[in-house]
Amino acid sequence: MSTASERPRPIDGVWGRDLGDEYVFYEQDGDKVHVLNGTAREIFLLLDGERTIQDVVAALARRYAVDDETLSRDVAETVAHLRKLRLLRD
Amino acid sequence: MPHRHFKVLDARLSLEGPEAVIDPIAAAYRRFIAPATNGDAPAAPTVVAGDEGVEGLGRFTPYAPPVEPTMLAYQRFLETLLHRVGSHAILHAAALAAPGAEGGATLLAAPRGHGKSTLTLELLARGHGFLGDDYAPLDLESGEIAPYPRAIGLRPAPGHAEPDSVRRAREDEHLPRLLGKTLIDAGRLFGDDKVLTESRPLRHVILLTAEDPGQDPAASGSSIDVIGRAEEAERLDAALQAIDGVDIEARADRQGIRHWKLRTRRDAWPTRELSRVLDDPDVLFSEKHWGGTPDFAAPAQMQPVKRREAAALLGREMLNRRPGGRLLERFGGNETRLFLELAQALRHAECWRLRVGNHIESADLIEKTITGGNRKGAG
Repeated sequence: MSTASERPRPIDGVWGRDLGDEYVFYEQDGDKVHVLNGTAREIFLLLDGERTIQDVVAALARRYAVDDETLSRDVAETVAHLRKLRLLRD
Repeated sequence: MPHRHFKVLDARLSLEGPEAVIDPIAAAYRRFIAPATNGDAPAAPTVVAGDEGVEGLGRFTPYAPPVEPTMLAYQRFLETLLHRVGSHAILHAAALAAPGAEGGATLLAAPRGHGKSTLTLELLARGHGFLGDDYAPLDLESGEIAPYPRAIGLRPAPGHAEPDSVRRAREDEHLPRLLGKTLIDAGRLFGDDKVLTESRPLRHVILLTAEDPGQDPAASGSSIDVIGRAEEAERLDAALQAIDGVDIEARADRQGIRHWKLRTRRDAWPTRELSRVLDDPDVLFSEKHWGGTPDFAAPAQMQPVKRREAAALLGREMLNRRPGGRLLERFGGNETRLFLELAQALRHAECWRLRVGNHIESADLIEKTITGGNRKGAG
């Protein structure tokens, strides 16, 4: 589980592109396509290795009228999912 | 023998052969004819239509009736051209520009027989600019569509009503013909000022389909007609049977040739293996078809699609993505990277699927979409 002070970043060499409505990427060792849409796409694009997870929550709080607790939980779940997809490194 | 030299995007090539064989091709590519030399050295002919067959791309293919010499020369000319173009991804689509000096580009992508040419002509008659009627070169970095002013090929008989200028052109017996189509320059039909010479940013992608807009028209796969030399029919047959994802639906033997009807399954799109067979010197001709049969009396319907879906369809129909070609070389031979660049190049475009119906109604819907009357497109 991630902590608020972590600064995850995309792993090097991810073959992905932001299409505006979705973020699409391929696994390099296979032929599988993954698609991030909506908030998952936004979170992924904010995770640049500079921002902490808390920074990401704060940035989303400025965009959406959602309480911090819900946002923190959503971001943590998304980060865990992105790690499982081997899209993020610490 | 007569030569014709061409400059198409970043590719130079030349065609040599009897006038009767090469002139129809030169007529189609009239706006691409270039000086015969590149610097001081004369450019070597890249495609030669000789007495016995056609040479190009490092291989010789003998003539075999009923494939006409011009058809064989044209196919090798296109293969060579598509092999050499690396600056743009050439999409199988008509490309128009919205009226006005700053009008963005709209792509109309469709399987054969979906009224793409009729719609293109209708929109040209309404004042849209002409970028291309069948090939749309997309700059993957800038997201712009370059002009591809090849002559428009009019079929012998239209399926439905058409603009007056087109009907008159169809009846002009003095126009050149290529592969049974009457060739006419878009400038002659609609005025030279309508034939654009500058690239335009891609703003709309419209996928024409016979199915309900919510369905993927490629879901049922594609069919491919292949004609090969009879002497090598058994070898080619075995090669086709060995490709996972391809079914041979029918075979027909005629004088000197075998004709296969293939169906590709969508879940196993066998690009590389299939390309290898279709590039075989004993394959004389191949043509791909996909999608159902439109009902031109049905109401036209427009629905947004994700850019990813539009990119997948345009990517499958990309004309110059074959292994060994200059475009794929730019991406290290990796089709996945090429697909991702294509998808990203659509990032400023709205993407739609149009179930075609009456062509006037379909054109109305396209214009409404381009001018912002439909507001739910991806983007």
